[in-house]
Amino acid sequence: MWTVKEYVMPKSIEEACNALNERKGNCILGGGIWTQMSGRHICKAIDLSKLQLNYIDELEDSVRIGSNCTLRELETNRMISEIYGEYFQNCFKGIAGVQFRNMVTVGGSICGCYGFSDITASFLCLDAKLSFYKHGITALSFFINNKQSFKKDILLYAELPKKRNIAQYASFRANFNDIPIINTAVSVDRGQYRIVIGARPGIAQLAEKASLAAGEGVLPETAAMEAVEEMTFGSNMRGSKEYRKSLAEMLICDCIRKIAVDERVL
Amino acid sequence: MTAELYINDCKWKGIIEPDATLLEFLRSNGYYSVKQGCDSCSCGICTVWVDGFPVLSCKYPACRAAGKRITTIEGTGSSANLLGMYLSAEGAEQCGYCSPGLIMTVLALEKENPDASEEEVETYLAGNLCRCSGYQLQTAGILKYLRRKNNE
Repeated sequence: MWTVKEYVMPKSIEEACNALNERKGNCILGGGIWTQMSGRHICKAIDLSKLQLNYIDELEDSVRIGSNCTLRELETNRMISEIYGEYFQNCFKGIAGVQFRNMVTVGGSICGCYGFSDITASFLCLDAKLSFYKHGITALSFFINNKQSFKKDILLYAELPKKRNIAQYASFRANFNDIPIINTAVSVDRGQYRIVIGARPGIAQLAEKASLAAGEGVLPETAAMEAVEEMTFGSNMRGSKEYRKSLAEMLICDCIRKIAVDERVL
Repeated sequence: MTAELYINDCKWKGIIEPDATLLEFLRSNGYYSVKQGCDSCSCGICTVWVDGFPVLSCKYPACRAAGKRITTIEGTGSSANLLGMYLSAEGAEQCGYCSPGLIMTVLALEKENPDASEEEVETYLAGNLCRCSGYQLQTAGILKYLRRKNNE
């Protein structure tokens, strides 16, 4: 059970950032679910829900998603569906239930750096950029590898490129709405592939060499094999590293094949 | 934290403990229809609406509800009663412990997608567990409830 000494709802980002940096035990809340379950002792819980950060805006070349936007808002947004098809619905449908997705926020999922995160994998695959209050704009891939330096900063929004992106997402779970044992995402934009593997059980990472190979036209099986070879996998109660590796190879291969079909249709 | 909010359209003003969940807050104020289940966002039994959207009160921070409108099953009027009758007519209620959460979720589905197909009902209710009735009878009762206007 978590404990909180003080719960604040700042009226400005500056106020929230100051509160976060006041002392070590202060903490930003996203949905707040994992923070509660982790049993943390928090001095000041900072709730961003009064900062109007739950927007989804279409810009000329990108889509801007406020950090306090819930997964359900993203999943049901018509503009998102028009641009990315069923990519996000496929990604989110296995995340617990509708009630849970009404609580989980984009910012909380990304900044929590959870290994099992479906949203981090799906956003990384689309080459998302993040905008932080102090650090400014950075690539999600950079954030993942340097998360410690962002610890006392606040994510304002994520921005997804609005290219002619075709993307496929696939995960494997012990049951329909459990935490994924492995998740994979593949996107292609004008011949450039991005192959991402998450829940290894580490946080999602881009398979750079395999992405290049896929762009050069190697067989899906070869690209998938190269992707799992350049990644590290681990074991936990949900699955062994060998099991994860085999699943990832199969899912990536499947995603690349589906993308090839989608490209022919378009 | 001092907060003002609405529970079933009744204004409430007072102090909310900083680490209280919405479930604890509601039950401490006499809303016993909101049940505690898994306490880990897995079973859906504690579902209530916040500004009309279903959430899991077991992990929803009570302070976050400040300024919002909370609805429990008591605030849904005759709809909950009617849906309960459809469920019991199918034999879909046994111990009944999960019923308030299930009914709140189905009524939220009805608002979002009144013509939901069987598959859509099952997908929407993926976060609601029942340990005794099984799901087929629940789904049958829910589909009959949603189609009731077509059958009148």
